[in-house]
Amino acid sequence: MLEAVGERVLRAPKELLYALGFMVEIVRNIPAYFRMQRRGGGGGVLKMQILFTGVNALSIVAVLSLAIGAVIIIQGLSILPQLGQGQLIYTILIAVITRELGPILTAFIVIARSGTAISTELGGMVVDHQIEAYMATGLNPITYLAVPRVLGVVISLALLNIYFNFFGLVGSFLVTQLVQPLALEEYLFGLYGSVTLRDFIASFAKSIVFGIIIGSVATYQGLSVERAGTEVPIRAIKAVGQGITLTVIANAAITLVSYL
Amino acid sequence: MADDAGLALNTQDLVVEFENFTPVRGISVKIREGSTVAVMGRSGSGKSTFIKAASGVIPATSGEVRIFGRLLGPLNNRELRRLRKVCGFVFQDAALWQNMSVYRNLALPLEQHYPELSNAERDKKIRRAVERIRFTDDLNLRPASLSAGEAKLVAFVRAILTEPKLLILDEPTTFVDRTGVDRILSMLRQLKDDGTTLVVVSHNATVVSQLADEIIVIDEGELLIHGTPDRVAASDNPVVRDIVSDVLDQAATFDSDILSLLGEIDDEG
Repeated sequence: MLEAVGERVLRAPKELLYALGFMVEIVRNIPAYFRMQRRGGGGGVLKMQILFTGVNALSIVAVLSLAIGAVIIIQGLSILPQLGQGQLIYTILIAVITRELGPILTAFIVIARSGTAISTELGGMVVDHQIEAYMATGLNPITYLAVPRVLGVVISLALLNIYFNFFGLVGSFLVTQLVQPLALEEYLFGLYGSVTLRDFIASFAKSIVFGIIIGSVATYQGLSVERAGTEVPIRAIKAVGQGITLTVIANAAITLVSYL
Repeated sequence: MADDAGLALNTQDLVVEFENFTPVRGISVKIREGSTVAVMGRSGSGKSTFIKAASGVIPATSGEVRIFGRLLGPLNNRELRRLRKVCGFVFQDAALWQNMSVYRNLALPLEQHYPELSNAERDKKIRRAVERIRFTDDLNLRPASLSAGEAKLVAFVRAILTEPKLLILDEPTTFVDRTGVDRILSMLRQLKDDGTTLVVVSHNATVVSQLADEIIVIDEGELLIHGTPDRVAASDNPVVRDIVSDVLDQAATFDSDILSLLGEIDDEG
């Protein structure tokens, strides 16, 4: 019993080191991926990843951001005027939607959809010996499979964040029209007066960092399947758990660095 | 390096360990360029793991592998490509890429190793190989639509399209029907005549008797014997006899059938 606990404790830092090494290996292979693309290979994987992670998630992101933008404005308009702070609604919208919810909610959506899909697909490929077949053909699985998936997740997440912001802020405006009609010009001026360049940079930086984390964790977990098909769902669950944990920690760290 | 002159494959004390077991325990073999070697052993004896480690498809835990004198180790992408161009591999379960069509499965290795080929030249090469093996008319099918035998034929074509100098095959005739086996055999014979080194894991009597210059017998991850078919057939080791006797008996029956058939033809003549 004690031995098993000890083994698990020792295994955790070892796995973390492997995962960090894997992340470094992905970054190191990015130039090789673009060289391969120039020779005409691997572009399809990146396009498919952007299609699946970004384009196919547009509708769910739109619904989520419209609804959340609406909720924030309803809550804000019901509380803030009572305190004589009606103008604060714009600051709250930027703080909540642009700085925090845009990057983190799109990251959660991508973890749930693409993180599991990537780890399951790669895990299945390990079990079917397809990864070995890539090796046998001279294609490095990191360059050919992991790099375009990670890049696809990063690009998609950055674009989904912009999309979330757009719909979140539009959603707020639409609800304002129902509750307390406002000129578009006034609404946009209010937002413009509350937003800073730092907000954009922090939000964008979060999307990039979250994308790297989610893509790397999912590909790492998928390629860590050894032989049995039963390992595939276990690795997919780990990809979700680790993806969420690391994303939340990174989010707190970036917020801390950006606004303190 | 000098010791490797004339050798296609040289393994020294090759060991592969997994978490709970050791399928390959210190196997050393030298395979000459241009020879055809059959690898035999009981199920689970470590044959497949050995040839995968010997070809660098999976990493060895310890020991050395040299392919045409080149020591396998951590290879960068360019070195890996160069190695794979000379060393082809046919997997036991075909291992076709499921997210691509059959055509893409065949085109990708060519794009990788012969980027200078135009699309038309690549297409011509693929069509010619497919015609010789005759496995399917529709190359746009996904591998999931193929039978196990057809998938095996596609895997065989995928490995030989790049014209490797060393071809390693893991049970190439399993799941394949008789006509398919004949076509594979005929292509293997031609590759052998062209000087390609062949390493074949097989229990097929015809493959072993008609192609093999040497036989390697592995049991419980260890090398039991490596020699000519005659030497292996004469072995005193009961495990070796048990493993090869069926195959060599079948081959002998096959040979005597052929001889008697030829005799009948002569008599009639």
